[in-house]
Amino acid sequence: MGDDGKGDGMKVRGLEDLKKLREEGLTRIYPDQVKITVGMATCGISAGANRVYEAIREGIEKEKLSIILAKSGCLGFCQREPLVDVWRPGFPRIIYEEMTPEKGVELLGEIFNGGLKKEWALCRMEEEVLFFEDEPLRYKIESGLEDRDAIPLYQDVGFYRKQLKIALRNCGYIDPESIEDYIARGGYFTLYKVLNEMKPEEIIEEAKRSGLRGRGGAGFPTGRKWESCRRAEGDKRYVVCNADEGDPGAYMDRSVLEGDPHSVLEGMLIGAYAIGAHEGYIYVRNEYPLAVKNMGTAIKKAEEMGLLGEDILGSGFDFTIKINRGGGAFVAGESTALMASIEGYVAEPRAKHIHTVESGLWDRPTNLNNVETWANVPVIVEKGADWYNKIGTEGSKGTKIFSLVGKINNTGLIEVPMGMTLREVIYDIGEGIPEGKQFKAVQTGGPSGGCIPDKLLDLPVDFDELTKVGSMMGSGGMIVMDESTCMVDVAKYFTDFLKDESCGKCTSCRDGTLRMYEILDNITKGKGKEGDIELLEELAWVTAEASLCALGQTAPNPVLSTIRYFRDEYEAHIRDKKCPAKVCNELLTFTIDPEACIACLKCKKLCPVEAITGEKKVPHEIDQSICIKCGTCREVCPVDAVRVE
Amino acid sequence: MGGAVVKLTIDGREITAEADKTILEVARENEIYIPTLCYHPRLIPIGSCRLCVVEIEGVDKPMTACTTLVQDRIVVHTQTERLERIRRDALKLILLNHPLDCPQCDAAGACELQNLVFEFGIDQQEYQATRPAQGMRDFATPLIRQWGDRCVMCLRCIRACHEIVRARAIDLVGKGYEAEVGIRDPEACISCGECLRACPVGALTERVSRIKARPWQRQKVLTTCNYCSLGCQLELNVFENKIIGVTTQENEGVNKGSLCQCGTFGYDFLHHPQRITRPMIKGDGKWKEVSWEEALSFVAAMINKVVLSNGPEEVGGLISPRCSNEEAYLFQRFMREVVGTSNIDTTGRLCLEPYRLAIREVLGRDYLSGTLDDIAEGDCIVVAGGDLDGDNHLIVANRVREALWRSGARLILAHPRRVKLAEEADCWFCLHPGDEVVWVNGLLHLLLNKGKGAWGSGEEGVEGLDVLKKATKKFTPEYVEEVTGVSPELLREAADYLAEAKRPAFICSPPLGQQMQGVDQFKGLINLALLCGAFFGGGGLHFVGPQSNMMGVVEMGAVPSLLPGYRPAETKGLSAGEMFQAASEGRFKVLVIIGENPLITLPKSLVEPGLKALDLLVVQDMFFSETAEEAHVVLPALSFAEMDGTYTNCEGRVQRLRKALEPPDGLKWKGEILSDLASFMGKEMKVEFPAGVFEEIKGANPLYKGVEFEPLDTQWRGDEGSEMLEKAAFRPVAPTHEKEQDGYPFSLSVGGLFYNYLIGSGPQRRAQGLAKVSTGPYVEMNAEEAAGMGIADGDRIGVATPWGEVEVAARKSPAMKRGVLSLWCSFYEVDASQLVGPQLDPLSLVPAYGRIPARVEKG
Repeated sequence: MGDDGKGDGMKVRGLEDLKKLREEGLTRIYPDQVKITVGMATCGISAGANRVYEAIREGIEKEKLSIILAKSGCLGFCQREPLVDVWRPGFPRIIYEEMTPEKGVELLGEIFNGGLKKEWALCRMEEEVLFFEDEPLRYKIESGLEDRDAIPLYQDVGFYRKQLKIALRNCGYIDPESIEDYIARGGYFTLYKVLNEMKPEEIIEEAKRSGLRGRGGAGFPTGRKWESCRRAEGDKRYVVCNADEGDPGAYMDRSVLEGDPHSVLEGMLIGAYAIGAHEGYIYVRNEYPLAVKNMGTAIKKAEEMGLLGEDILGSGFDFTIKINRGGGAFVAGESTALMASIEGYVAEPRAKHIHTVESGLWDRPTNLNNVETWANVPVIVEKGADWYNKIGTEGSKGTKIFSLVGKINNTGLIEVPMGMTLREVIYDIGEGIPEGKQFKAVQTGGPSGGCIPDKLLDLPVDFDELTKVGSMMGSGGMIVMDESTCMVDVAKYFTDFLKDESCGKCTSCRDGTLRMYEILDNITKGKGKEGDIELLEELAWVTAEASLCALGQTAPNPVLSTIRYFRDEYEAHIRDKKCPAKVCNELLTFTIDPEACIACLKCKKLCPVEAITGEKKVPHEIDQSICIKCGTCREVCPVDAVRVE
Repeated sequence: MGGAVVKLTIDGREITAEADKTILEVARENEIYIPTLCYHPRLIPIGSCRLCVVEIEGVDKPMTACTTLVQDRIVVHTQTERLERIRRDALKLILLNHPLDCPQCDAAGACELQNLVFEFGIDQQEYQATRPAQGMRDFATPLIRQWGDRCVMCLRCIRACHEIVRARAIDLVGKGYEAEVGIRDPEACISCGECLRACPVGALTERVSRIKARPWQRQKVLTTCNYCSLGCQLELNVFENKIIGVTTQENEGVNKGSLCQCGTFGYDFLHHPQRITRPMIKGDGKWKEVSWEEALSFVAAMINKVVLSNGPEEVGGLISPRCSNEEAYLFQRFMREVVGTSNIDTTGRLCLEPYRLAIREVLGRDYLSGTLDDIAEGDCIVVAGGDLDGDNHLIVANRVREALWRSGARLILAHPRRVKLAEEADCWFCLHPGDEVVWVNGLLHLLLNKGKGAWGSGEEGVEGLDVLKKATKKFTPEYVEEVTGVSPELLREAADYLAEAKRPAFICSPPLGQQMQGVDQFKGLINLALLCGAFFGGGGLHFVGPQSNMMGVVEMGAVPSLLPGYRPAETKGLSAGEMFQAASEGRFKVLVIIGENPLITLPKSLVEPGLKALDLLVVQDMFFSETAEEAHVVLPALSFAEMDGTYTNCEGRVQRLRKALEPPDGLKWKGEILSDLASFMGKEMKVEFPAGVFEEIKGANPLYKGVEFEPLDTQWRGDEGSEMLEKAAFRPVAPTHEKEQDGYPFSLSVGGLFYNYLIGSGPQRRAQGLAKVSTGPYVEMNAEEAAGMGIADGDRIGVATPWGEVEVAARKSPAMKRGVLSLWCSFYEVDASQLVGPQLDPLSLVPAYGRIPARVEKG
């Protein structure tokens, strides 16, 4: 655990101290005995990792086993959580998937007996890539050789094969509460180098040449932002980490904060040194308690060791960081609104004709970057801009984390090089659509992103290409939809979210999103009329044109992109009063197939308006004049006898 | 402010503009029209309505002109198809939730939304509203109605409340499309009406008038407010000879479009049914309506009789400082020329005199010429005396806030209560009344030690610096702490701010001097102002008082020792207090009162026996005041809205009163009455209409020589070189150590006495709108002290002085100075004048309304 007290009271003053800590960390990560690590990020916990951890702990205690039990962050493959990672000296390292408390206890026995329990294994690792070493770290493997080929290698698992983890480099590999673990994998060595060997201008130059663009969504070149902030006049400068991740279904930032908080701290330290800032803020949404906790621990440890505070690593550079918890508003993720919130005001965006790099927090130059951007910084500075800018596309360098969710076989957190096609992401990493259904669209960029249809599956994913097709990178949400998804309903869903999250300041956004929602709602309820599509387009136009902040400017994307690629679905709703995907209940007719009906009375009992007639052994029937199309009968029918037209 | 200049192009026109202006401001200055709704010139722009979007070449997105600063060489287009489309769409979205109940909306015809819809010719609406109607609801103040449906979310009301008044009574509630203007803290609402005036539509409407009229049916008469001495400019909205509301003009007067609660809502007394409309004579204890002839001939005969038998020195008059300059001038002429006495006084003098004597002595002048606008430009502001907010000088308090919050000025405040400005002050000195002299000397001590010379520069110093140094030598911070309890750190901090200040401004008001040795209190402060450089390019010294023509009536010579223009009178008459003293001693027989109510405003122990001993008491008033009830003859009076004339405000602006209403039948202007009275006395006093009298004043009063009755622009009274202070000299003051009177451990101040009389005050509460938001009388005291005596908030307690006792509700205040009681009685529900002692300050002849020995008795 991170609280073993070894580092307490010790200040890191130079390279030797760092190296010493690294040795400590290495023996923690790769001990001379068995170590079981349970993935305990929020995704793991929600899948039951807590109970698995407890069962294993009790098992170890009961049998008095000499096994170290540890926690780590998220390895990304959320679909298969809880994941348990077993390190045994001499064995391949094995990741077990979909663990339960019972399996956990059984696994202990297997380990005791020297077995591999290959049928539960997701994959095995025999080496790992460390960005701070030239060579991969190869494990010495002498045992378990006979069974190992039955377990795929990590790099051969479809989900992982095409990934390249830079920002997520430590997630799942280290105990996020242990600063030694982070140092063991090369952490804070870059900071040491920066403070001792590099001038601020050199770092900015490196950041500029790397081509890194802001991962929060807008994709502004990070190096240029730093440079403007450094040049801006002011008695004080601030750096801010935006961790107000509010997109539904997106949890890139959460995973980094939970699994590897020090990577963000080190990134901010390097950025602050380059910019000339001595105070930093991390603005985390309050719905991320574990992220707040782990980051809090990380800051405390770093302060204790002199990696934060005054005279860091003896360089004379001072830097402090405070955590601010968000107030629950989506729009607080907008930079000016976020700064208003830190200052104690309502999170409302303001006009940005004066950039926040010149006048941000308390009217002082302020550089704000997102979690993922900061986590990339130490690697870029360590490996150099020329290494980094070879990854990715012409306009978008490096990798990007996506949360791959929806109608897809492998859901989880992935990090891929920019420029990978959507097809690769969905079919190679995601391994396609479940139940043999047809892919329909992928929605990228969070609630105000757009829906991309199958004909664009070969689109290389980067900032510019996504924007071209009417969507955006956003913070990296990726929701896959299949043939059973109604695109009007999707547009309605996201517009509903946006109308609720508009701060209400600009007329165009406040009322524009509301009116779009109302029209979409009417269409899905069969009340659409000719001209609605044009009206939506007009509203979308003015919302995008006239709104102050990015929320309003991008809010029409769900509507516009679905109209652009799925206009026929809109028209079917409006003209034929039909929902082709059979989602919009009010446009459907529910009937019971008398052949299939087993006359179980289930639907009859649950029908809220008593529209269903029939007795036991008499096939049921729905009275269409009473039916309110709520869909309950379809949901409860054990034999799928309810037909929908 | 003399900053950089840029060149830009707007709609093809090349324009040179100051770099710190927005595109909208520059466009308006150049008469280029850009539509707006959420923009208000006095508020910080937020760019929310999106109507003012303009295109800037090279910039993708349209920018809001109200929030975008001009930049060099930008090319701006304000009228393009794209912009027209955005504006139309935005307007339709705004209009969507807005009920089209224009036929019954108060704002119809004066509605910015209506105008915009008309301008853009929006005649169809593709969208459908879904929000359920809310109808009218209660607002933060009972004087305003809120119609939530009509709200266009410009947030001007909220911003006005936060930015101008800093009351924060209302705020945005909810987010997104559910956001609305809601009540944040009704306690914080001071009913100033700033939100009402800011509303571009009819979402906020006033609730005092029972009569409604379309805006185009209203006649708006620009006139001067009748309440305090700021002389705010306001428009009386008249419909069928009734005032139905009050509006303002932007940039007009000292108020620049703002008003306080009195100005906005305090007009309804004008139509109160209890108005006196006929002259009356009391016979056998009963009032009898009589003709003007009968009333005036009766009065004339009595005056003549007393003058003949006892001499004119047994006749005197009191005139209200809410009378016009013309009326005051004629009244003093009547007394001096027709009756032949200098026994003339006014409660305006009771407020002004201690200050005037102090500037006379230190600065060598009777008045100063400074505008309250200088306060907003000040970098360190000192406020001493009254509570600017509580005493309804809200406009000045807001000017202080403007300096504090817009340009970061420092505020130093001396007051025994934690008044509203104390919460915003950098240094609040919680002083026992009377300790101001010690405090000022402490500041002078520190500043002199820092080497501060007069007006802060190397110029030749003001005379008396050495004397001042010597006199303040012992007032070290430690000594000041010993005497007053002020912490040395706070005193040093304030001295530092004053030492650094380039434009210090000083504001004071009557409570500082309405006590024994009150003149010294002012002198101390003026010494400080002089040393800090408040004059000669500084922020000045400002005095604000409670009555609308406090300054004017004194300058017109309606005082015992001064002729018009502050010229000393050869024979000095009796002051108000002295007349009552003389009357009770049988040396004074006839008193003619115009609009004054001495039973309320002067010490009762002095007034009551005096009134009883008079042979004739004539009272002219709009209503039966407490004093009128005691009179022999009562005459009806015109209201300020029923006549023409001029007022001189506390800065010396000479401003017009304009006739807005036809008076009730048979009522006459005071000038005419005085002329008639003179005729009945067998004398001649020719009086022309007010404008003619003003011409006479110009001849008789050198300060008004260059002033016009009907001015084209703001005009100030004063002589040439009124900026000169060549006679200034430091006049050190020493504190007096008053002996605490046995059995009276507290020091009581009585406030509010001079605020509302003549305008429908009294138990009847004739200003019914104001009565609704009035807190009622209360005495404020230190919470711990009160708790120690077992007094709870709201308890009725007895407050006794050697001269009287009243029962009043207690209000406990944690931050209040111990040993101090503060009694507030705006509507005179308590008989506070009986608490004031009959002694007059020997210099100013003003009774002590502050520092009265008192004790508290649990009820």
